[in-house]
Formats: sequence, structure tokens, C-alpha cells
Amino acid sequence: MSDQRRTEIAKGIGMTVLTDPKFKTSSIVVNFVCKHSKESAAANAAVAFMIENTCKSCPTVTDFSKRLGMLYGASVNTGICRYIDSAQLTAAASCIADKYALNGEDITYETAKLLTECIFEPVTEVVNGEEMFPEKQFALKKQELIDSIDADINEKRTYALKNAGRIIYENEPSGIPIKGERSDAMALTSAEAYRAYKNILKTARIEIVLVGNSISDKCIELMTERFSNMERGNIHEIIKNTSPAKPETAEKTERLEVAQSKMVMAYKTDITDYGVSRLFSAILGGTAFSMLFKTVREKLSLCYYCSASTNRKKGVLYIDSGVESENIEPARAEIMRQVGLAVNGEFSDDLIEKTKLLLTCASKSGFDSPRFAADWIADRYLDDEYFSPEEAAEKINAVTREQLCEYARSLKLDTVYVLTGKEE
Amino acid sequence: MMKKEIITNSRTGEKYTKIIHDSGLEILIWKTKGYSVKHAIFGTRYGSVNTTFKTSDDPDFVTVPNGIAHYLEHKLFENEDCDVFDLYAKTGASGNAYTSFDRTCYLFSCTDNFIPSLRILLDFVQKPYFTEETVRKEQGIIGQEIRMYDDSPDWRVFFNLLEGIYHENPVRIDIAGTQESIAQITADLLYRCYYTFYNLHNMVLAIAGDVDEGEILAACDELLKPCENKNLISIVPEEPDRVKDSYKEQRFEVAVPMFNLGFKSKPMSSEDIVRETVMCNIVEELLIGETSELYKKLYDEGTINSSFYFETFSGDGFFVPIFGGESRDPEKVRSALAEEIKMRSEKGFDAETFEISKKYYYGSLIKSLESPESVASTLINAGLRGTGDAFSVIEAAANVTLDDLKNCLKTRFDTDNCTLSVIRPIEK
Repeated sequence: MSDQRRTEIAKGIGMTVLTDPKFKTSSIVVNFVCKHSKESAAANAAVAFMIENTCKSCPTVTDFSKRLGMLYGASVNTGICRYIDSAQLTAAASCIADKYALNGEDITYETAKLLTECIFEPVTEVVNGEEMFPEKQFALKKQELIDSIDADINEKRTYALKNAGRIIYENEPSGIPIKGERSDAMALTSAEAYRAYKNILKTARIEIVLVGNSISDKCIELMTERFSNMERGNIHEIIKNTSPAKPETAEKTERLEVAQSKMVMAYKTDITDYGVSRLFSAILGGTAFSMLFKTVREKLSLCYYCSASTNRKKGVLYIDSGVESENIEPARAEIMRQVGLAVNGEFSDDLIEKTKLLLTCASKSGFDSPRFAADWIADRYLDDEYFSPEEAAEKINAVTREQLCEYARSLKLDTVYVLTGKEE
Repeated sequence: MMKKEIITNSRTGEKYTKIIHDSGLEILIWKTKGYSVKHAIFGTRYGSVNTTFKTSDDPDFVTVPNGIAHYLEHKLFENEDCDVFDLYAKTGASGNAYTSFDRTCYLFSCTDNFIPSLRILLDFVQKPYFTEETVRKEQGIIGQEIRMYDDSPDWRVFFNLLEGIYHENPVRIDIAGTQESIAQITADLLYRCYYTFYNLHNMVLAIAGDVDEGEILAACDELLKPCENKNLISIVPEEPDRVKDSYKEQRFEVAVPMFNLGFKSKPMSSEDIVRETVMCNIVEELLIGETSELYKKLYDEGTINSSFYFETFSGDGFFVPIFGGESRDPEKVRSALAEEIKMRSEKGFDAETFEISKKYYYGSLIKSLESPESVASTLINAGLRGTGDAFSVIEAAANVTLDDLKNCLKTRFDTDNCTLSVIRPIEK
């Protein structure tokens, strides 16, 4: 049987422990939610790079990797993503359960210890009395950050969504690239990145989640001790605003050397209800029997993919598609026609029931993966509204046809972004 | 008479059941107690490389256009009267399929209604329905899929590598085929290939989850259509030992150059492929894994970054150790690796790093047992390889020696027989 407990271990810091004997691995995930702005974006992203694969006790990547290898290939990763209009920096570790240790090692505790060393004991140097990340190491990581910003162009679907986001969330923090602009990353100094690091520790809202076969008291004490002895200031407040719809639909076409065009259409709504927005986007374009898949792809062959998804807390419904350039206009017209059908309630009860069944089955599988469970738990507590995957399934099942129609009626086409080939 | 065997592994304490069903199908079932998800994969040894073949019914070998295995995968989802996704929708299962170089697999995941979902899987895969009209219609969608991959630099750098390494082997052609090859596909060709490769003697069913073995076998007894073993033989064209081109380059919309460096290596029989692949993986880790001095040097000087990776690309008729990632100087990575290979061929590997690598490898295999999806994937790999032994990777990793690795390095990493594929940014 699984067991789940949460405690508030310090100001703005929650820690949840979930144990289940079925697990073969452990996940320890620390989420820092902090302010996202043009000024802070590149520096916060640089922090994620700086604390990833070194710490004072393992100052080189080689030392660090050897230590992970001794822990049976444990991993420590960091990343940065959005949390509504804030930035969410995640430092996560994963390892095999202690019962699989060949020599009785305390793998989970040792992995948690290494993760805390990355977070609290990064490699630093003092220059002119100021502590900062070492210049040489910072230069390499800064280049990696710049390369990763540049590499967004490699995957055209992601690239189109990123560029569409600048227009969809114009003048909002969500419109600022999560890793910042290239020019900001180029201008960043080691001292600035280190100040951003200290600021995150001091002001971020923090959710820690430990999931595994068994999490020892020693491990819980380690995490509690390290995180409750930090200097904390004013804790970042997570603002929950939906994105305002533009008076007129914004349109933009960008040209690159691509074989297949990408089209992103964004609709906006004030409705952020979990069950309604998940069910509606799945009915419209989230499954292989959805309205968009059945018509735009299968019946009319206008797109290779055409799917709907939501940024629920911002009240945005995306429809993104991979489309031949000559089909852009017909695809757009058909997508709008399908949304129009939804507004009029022209979707069958059978489609609603099938979609509910698929989503509720998927929800029930949530806690089969330690990392998925850790991310789910953190997300719910950051939202200040905890519900389990089973309760999520109940929310979806409780949605009525009328609520779906009301959601469809509330949608307003805000942005149409097209990435297409260069003109001959 | 159905044959049943419990396969156990003392190192991990794990076990699963292997059954040879009366129909000829191999069934592998791994009970993962306590997990909500149940996962099933129905796979056939039929991938993009299987373009030349014969059965006991054929007088001689026949060669068909590229891309048929993938095309068949798309078309099997259409029944005569309905779409398979509509059937899964009634059970709440999430269905999918994929075609690779040497296999096609149909799969689903669910939490409830496992047996009804399994019945759908077993039924539709054994019930082909194609007409000239439905076959023609699919050309548009598959053509769009091919074009989508044309925009992927990761995909292009990899296929350019295979085009450089191989002269004739069909592994050098995109799994989906080309616009020209798919235009030659007809309903008759699809039926011909279907009845050749979708013989249950050439297929495996792999299941992982908190499932009831008796219920599974009852569904199999009812739905599997016994068929005669036609002694299928699939061959690849004669392939020269040397690479076709040692360098391939393409310009693309990327910011930083990307590369794949691959070593042409002798293909292996199914029995030996696991051990050879494991050894190559450990050699790659020791040469330039994150614990190596070479990685540190190239990383610290900025020649490679955290996108760097390596893998052993192996299967029916092909075997290539590959190193890849982003680099502003791919040629430097190639020459540094060549020097390291030369030095290690003489001096061998460090014993301490070797032990760390073995622990690392063992841990990554335990991690792969975490979810029913990955357990089912481990089972289907074992089944389609023809050994049915899902623990062979763990055992091969545990038993490998430093001498084995030195031999592997000498035979499989020939620095005079490799291809460097590079994607460079478009010059503006």
C-alpha cells in the first residue's frame, strides 16, 4: 500500500514523501518557483546549467559522473520551464531502490545527499571580495545556454510554438522565452548568475517531493535539515492570471527553409476548470478519434498532425498542425469550422463518453512512475489545490455537455502563426 | 502442444512466463504486481530492411519496394467496417504502433478492460483489409510524414550516416520509404507482404502488468488463428566490408553543427547480438563516457557539449557503434576518438573505470524495469531477437571482462572504416 505525507518544513517550503513497495527506483525532485522577467530569465536558466553536474566535493564533470556511476548510474538533472507566469527551476535525482544494491549501499540517501550538494554547495570562487561561479566553468555553461537557445530552431514544431508564444502572450511574462533572449544570455556575467542563484534560494516558493520504494528517516532528515536552515526573504507570490484576448486576431507568417509548414492557432478563454479544459481539448484534438484528427487529418488529408492542447491556467487552447504549404488556408478554414461545430454542440455523446473513458484510464495510471508522481504532487501543491489522479478522473467524468459548449462559446481566436518555406 | 516455461533471474529476483502457443506464437508475460498500467505489444519480425525474402511457397527470392512494412502498419489500423482507434475508445485503452528497421509492433496501454483491449489487438492485427482506393489515399499522409522528417536535422544526420556507411543494405533508406517507392505500393503487394511476415511463427506477443495469465491464454486460444510455418527467409543484399563514403555533409536550418560518427562493423547472428551490443556500449562508455578523460578534455575545451551521446545501432544485418551530438569542430572529435581508440587498443582500459561502468550499466537495466511499458519493451526485444531471454542483457553486462572489451575495441572500432556525417548551418 502506498503512503503519502506532506509537511511545511520552512517558510514557503513544502515537502511530500510518497512510498510504495512496487517502485524499483526513487525520485527526489526539488522545484523552485521564482519570478520570470526579461531581466531574470537568462540568469535563472544559467543557474540551472551551473548546478547540474558539479559541486564542491565533485568539482569536475568527470568526478561527478564517477560518483553517479558508483551509485549504480544514479542521475541528477536540472531544468527550467514555466509555471503560469513564473519560472520553475527543477533539480531532480533518480536512482535504483536500495534493495537492488549489490553491496548493501544506501543508494537513495547518497543520491539525495549529492543532489543537496549540487543545490547548496556549487563550485564558486571569490574575485575582488565577491563570491561567484568560476569564470572558466561559467563560460562553458554560458555557451551551452546560448547553444540551447539557438538549438530551438532544430525542431520546427517546438520552434513554431515558441515563436507563436511571443505573440499569444504579448506583454506578459509568459511571452518571454523561458531561457531568455540570446542577447541577454550573451551579456550575462558569472557574478550576475551567482546573484540569481542566491536570490532563488532566498525567495523561491519551494516544493520538494521524494518518491520511492522506501524513503529512510535519515534521508528525510537530511532534506529537512538542509532546506530549513536557509536564509529566506520575501517569498515569490505565484500570480494566477489568464491571458487577455486581443481585440483583433494577431497574424504572423515566418519563412525558413522547411519542407513542411507549421501552423499554430491560439484561442483564449476565461474558463480554467481542470475537467472542462482537459476534456474539451481532447474531444477537439487530443486523441486519434477526436474531431480534428478524424476530419482534418484522416478525412481531408490536410495535415500530418493536427492536435489541440491547453495552457489551462493561462486560459489558452492551442491547435498546432504540420501542414503542406498549399493546404494552409483549407486547413485553417476546416479547423475553424470544427471549433464552430463544437460551439453549436455538434459532437456526439458517444465522443464525449469515449474521451472521458480514455482520459480517466490515463489518470489512474499516474502514480505508476515515481517521477510522474513527483511532478503531479508538486504541481498540485504549487497550485494550492491538491487532488489525486483518481480525483482528477472524477473531475473529468463530472463534466457535462453544457459545460463543454459553454467552454467552446467562450473561445476567441487570438493568434494565428505560420512557419512556412521560403518563396521561390 | 503448448509449451510453458518460467524464466527467472537470481541477480534481480525477477521472473516472467514464456509460452509457445499451439498457433505458433511466442507469448511472454511479466506480472508487475501493484502497477495500474497494463501494456501489450504484438510484434512481427518485419521492418524496413526486409525487402528481399522467400517462403516455402515461393520458387525464388522476391524484392519489393522500400517502405512497405511501415505502409502496412498504417493500413492495418483500418478494418473493413471501422477504425481500430474507435474500438480502443470503447475500452479506454490507448493504442499505437511503430515500424523500425527490423520490426513492426502494435501496442496498447490501459488500466481497465485489459482483456477486451487484448482481444481488439489480436483481432485487428490478424485481419487485414486493403483496397486500391484505401491504399492510394494513404500515400498522401505517408508522403507528409516523410516530408516532416525531412525537416528534422537529427533524422537527416543519422540517415546521411547510414547512406555513407552502407552501399546496398536497405537500412540506408528511410523507414517510411521514399515518395517514389511508396507510389509503387498496391493492395496486392500489401497482401503479399502481410501473409509472408504476419505469420504467427514470425511474431511475438509481450505483456506486462498486473494481469491474469489464465485469462490471457483463454483469449489467445479463442482468437489466434493457427498457421503453418512457411520457413520465411529474409536476406539483405551482399554488402562490401568498407564504408561507401567516409564523409557526408548537408546544410540545414540549424544554429550549431551536428554530427554522427559511425564505425562499419560486421553484423551478428541473433544469438550473439546481445553480448556484442552490450560490449560495444561499455567500450563507448569507457572511451568517451562522462567518466573518461577524453570526455573531460573535449568538454572543457568546448569541442563537445552536454548533447554528446553514443549508442550501438544493431539489428538484423547491421551493426554500427555511433557517436553524435553538436560540435563546432566534428573533425576534431573524430581525430580525438581515433587517437583514443589507438591508445586503448594497445593499453586496454582502466580497471576502476570498468567496474564503475558495469555498475552504471546494471543500474540502468534495473531502471528499465520500473514501468510496465518498458518491461513489455524488454520482453518484445528478447522475443523478436529469437532468444526469448529478457535477462540476457543483464547477464551479459555482469559477465563481460576487460579482455572481451579490448577484443571488441579492435574488431568493431576500425578508425579506417568509419563515416562522419555532418549537418552544418545554412550560409546566410
